[in-house]
Formats: sequence, C-alpha cells, structure tokens
Amino acid sequence: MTDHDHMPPTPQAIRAEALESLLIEKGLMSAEAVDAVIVRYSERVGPMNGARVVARAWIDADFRKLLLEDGTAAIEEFGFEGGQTEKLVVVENTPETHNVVVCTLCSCYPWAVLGLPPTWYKDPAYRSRVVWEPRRLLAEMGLALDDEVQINVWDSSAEVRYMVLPMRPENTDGMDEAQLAGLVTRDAMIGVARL
Amino acid sequence: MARVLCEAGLVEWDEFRQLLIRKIGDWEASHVNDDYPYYEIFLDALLELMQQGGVCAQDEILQREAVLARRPHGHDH
Repeated sequence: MTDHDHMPPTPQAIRAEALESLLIEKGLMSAEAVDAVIVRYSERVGPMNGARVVARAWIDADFRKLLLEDGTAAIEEFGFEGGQTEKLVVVENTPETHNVVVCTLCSCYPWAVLGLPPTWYKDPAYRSRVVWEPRRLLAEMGLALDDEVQINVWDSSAEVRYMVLPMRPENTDGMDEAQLAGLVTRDAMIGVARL
Repeated sequence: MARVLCEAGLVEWDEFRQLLIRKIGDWEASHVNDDYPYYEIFLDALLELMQQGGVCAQDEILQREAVLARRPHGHDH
C-alpha cells in the first residue's frame, strides 16, 4: 500500500504494515479484502455518486421531495455501496440559506455518496472554525456569502450523515441528468463551495 | 484495514469511533499549531482496539515492526 521506491517507509507505514501482516497471518482478514476496499474507494465510490443524486433532484420534483424527507430511502434505488449512510439527511441550499457539513468530533462523512473525506475536512481547524466562525472560514475557502444569507452548520455523527443539495446553476435549462451531474462538485455537496 | 475488520464483524465501528474521538481529543488538548497526524491517531486507535480485544499483543506488533524496519530500502512487498 505504500510506495517504497524512493523514500524509506515512515514509522507509521511500518506499523500499519506490521498490523496488516499479523492480521492476515492470523486469518482475520485477507490481502484481497484490503485490495477490494482500496479499489472500491478509488474506482467506484466517490462524489460522482452524490452528483447523480443532486442532478436527479434538480430534474425530478418528486425525487427531490423524497430526498429532502428521507435521504436514505431516496438513494436506495441507486444501489450505492460503501456504507456510512446509515441515515442520510440531505439539506437544501436556497438563496436565503446556505448549509455546510462537519463532523466536530472526528471525520464522519457520507462515504457512499461522497467517497472518502478530504484531508481538510478532518483537520481540527475546519472542525472547530466552521462551527464558531463559518462565514469567515467559508470566505477563506473561496465562498463569500452575503451577510443576509443564513448559514446552517450540520454536525455529523455515527448515526446521521449529511449532504448538501446545492442550488441548480443558472443557464442549465435543456441539460440532461448526466450533463447536470457533471456540474456538481464534492465541495458543493459538503457546503464549502457553490456551483 | 478498519473498514475490512468492520465488515468482517471484528470491529464494532461505533466502538472504534468513540476511541478515535477520545484520542483525537487527547491530541488536540496537548497540541496547538502542530501538524495534525490524523492517520497516526487513526492507526493508534485501531492498534489499541486490537490489543484490547486480544487480537494482537503489543510485543507482537513491536517484533514485526522490528523485522520490517530491517528490510533493505527499496524492498517491494
């Protein structure tokens, strides 16, 4: 899992390999199982899943209603794998309200629709500042919101994961679902960017 | 590894998460502007859970680390 070609392994890489090799020798997991998870999150599970959900919600009013009422049920038809969406709550942005997601305690994240969380999402600075100074933090991250826009911060947990439904961009009439999905970014679904 | 162990039923995700939260809190209480070693903390929590559950003893890990550390640089495993 680590590249030994140019740099000696770090102590943490050695420790991880030590644990992995012992668990495999003890028959508690297999190298194939680890590889399967790596392939899953590098090739199949990622924000393109969430983008498909968002695009569907922009086009289909009934789906949008269900998505906002019961995110878990709404995404079932997509058959996403990856777990971490035991309960998915989707919150919609409006011109008056902007939503942003965090896990203040660790890194809870809706993996099945967004893949693995970015490094900054796990950082203590983001986790604390998005709660006590969200407007300033978002501006530093490139999203300047007018003072009149209300910011809602949603704290994720093991039981509930959040995803933002961004507003549909202007001048997208006539685009089909696939084209619309191509406009949706991970950061917009976390709430640190707009489309 | 954590995902595989959870899917195999060997790790209860919420138990792991609670331990991770505690270790994150401990680190944040003693560090201010240091680089945040999230994956070191993550691995530390997983190791502690394995030791608590009697899956891997600390001396086993240390012995294996010593073997791997003696490997010639550039070894492709």
